Amino acid sequence: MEPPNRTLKPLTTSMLPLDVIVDIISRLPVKSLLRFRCLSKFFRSLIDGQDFINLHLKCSNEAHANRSLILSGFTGIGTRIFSANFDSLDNCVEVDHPFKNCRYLRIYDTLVIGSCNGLLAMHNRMEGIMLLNPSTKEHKILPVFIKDLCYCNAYFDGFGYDVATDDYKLVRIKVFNKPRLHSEVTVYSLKANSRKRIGNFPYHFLVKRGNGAFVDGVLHWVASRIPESDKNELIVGFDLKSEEFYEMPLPRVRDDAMSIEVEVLGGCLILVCMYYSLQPCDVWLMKEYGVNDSWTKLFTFKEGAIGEVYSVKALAYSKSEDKVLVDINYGDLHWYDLKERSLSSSVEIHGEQVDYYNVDLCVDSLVSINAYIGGPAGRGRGTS
Amino acid sequence: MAIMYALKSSDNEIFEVEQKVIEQSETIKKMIEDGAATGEIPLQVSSKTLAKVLEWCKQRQHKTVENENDDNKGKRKKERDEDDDIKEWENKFSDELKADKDVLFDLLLASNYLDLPALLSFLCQLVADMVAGKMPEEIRRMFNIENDFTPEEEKAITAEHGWAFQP
Repeated sequence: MEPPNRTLKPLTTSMLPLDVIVDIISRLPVKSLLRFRCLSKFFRSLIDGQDFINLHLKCSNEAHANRSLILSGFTGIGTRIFSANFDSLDNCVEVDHPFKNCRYLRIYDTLVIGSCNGLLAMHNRMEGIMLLNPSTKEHKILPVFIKDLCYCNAYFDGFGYDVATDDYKLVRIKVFNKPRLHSEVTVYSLKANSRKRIGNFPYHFLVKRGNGAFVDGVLHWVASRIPESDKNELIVGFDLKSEEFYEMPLPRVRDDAMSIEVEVLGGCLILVCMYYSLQPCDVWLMKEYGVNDSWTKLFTFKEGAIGEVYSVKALAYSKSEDKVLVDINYGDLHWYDLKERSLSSSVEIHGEQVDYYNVDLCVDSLVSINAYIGGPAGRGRGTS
Repeated sequence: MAIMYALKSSDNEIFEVEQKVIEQSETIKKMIEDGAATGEIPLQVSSKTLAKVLEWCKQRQHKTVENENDDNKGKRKKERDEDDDIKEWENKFSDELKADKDVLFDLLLASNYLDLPALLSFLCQLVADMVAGKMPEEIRRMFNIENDFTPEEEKAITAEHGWAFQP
């Protein structure tokens, strides 16, 4: 580095080493970085660079910083998407998206399939699938998914990132009852901007819909080996790299589970088991991915801790990691205190007020959807 | 008896420091290991900045030693009190730096040059928090950054994410 042998000169960034500048700006929220793109040509090319985008994402994940809650609400004229700061649970603002003004019946709401590296995959039965980066507001409709669900009786989507090919993939499993029971699995690659069929799904679902839980390059669902079973038997993983299914055993959950769902919490696979009995719910955590012995019960809702519970979704750990934000019954948020083993009263989100029916966690990132399309040659943010 | 080293600032002031304190700097630790540090260790850091660097290192050293001496009993309460003390000390340290940006800037360069990762990280976060909510024009003034865009180019880039420029 240059020796700082000057006395009271004005501050110039030309005197700061590049790695110090990068260290500083990798800690900034996306909104600040979008502003700082216009500081100078140097800053714009730095912030737009793929290396910086990846570093910023890594820093945010490691520091549990730059996280947002994505709230979906129905207002009578289509689905509105809101984003709120996770740390402060305020500054709730609407995110514009192309499916916003689709006036359909409620069964045609826009639903979040999953969130990965700051990108959301969202599905609307009439309009197809879109990818959205709520932090930069960049979005893209994927036309290959329009009118894709004709004749199918059940469908299961999953969205994730494959490190090996540096590509985002959307997996869809469609189940048909006629003329005979059969299934079809397709994988969409963002880089190739195309979709291919990769065979059938060799298991059976107990439900009609379910989004894959993305952990460690693999999408997960719970399923059964035999058709029309009333018991979930295993976790089925779909490896985005090899594009193959594989089996993982369930931990020893109680026999009387009404439903079992796989979700993601803090980068780990979790299992939410709901029961008919008064003790409504167990949440299991796979501490070390792929190690079956590492399944531990993370928490249980005590009898009477809360009224009737029919849905539980664990969203994220607090910054100090001693609490988990839980969405109960589609839109009612509570903190579960892991030390005290208790549930807080409803958490309010400040900002625009809408009845939310779905809450997801999304890291704020600069990842650009359009930069991926067409592979490495198409990289760079293009517009400027 | 602790081993002491003499550090010489760029303006020739001598600082007597315990080895344990100054070994937090990877640069100096390496100089000592290489045997290059006999007598005074000359550093390309002004006395004003070096004094601040040492203030930080002594605080950190103090914290490490206390943690080593603790037994488990009552540790949690003590840790909590200590955390509060450290927070208070860090807040005071930050406030002084925020008030004098030249010192902050020099300290950033010194922590990078002396390879003090904890201080560098602390300062980078401090600067990040200072600039996060500011508008480009304020940042340019603060850091003397030359705007090499034409007015048309700047307008176009601003328009790409116009909403990000609202407070």
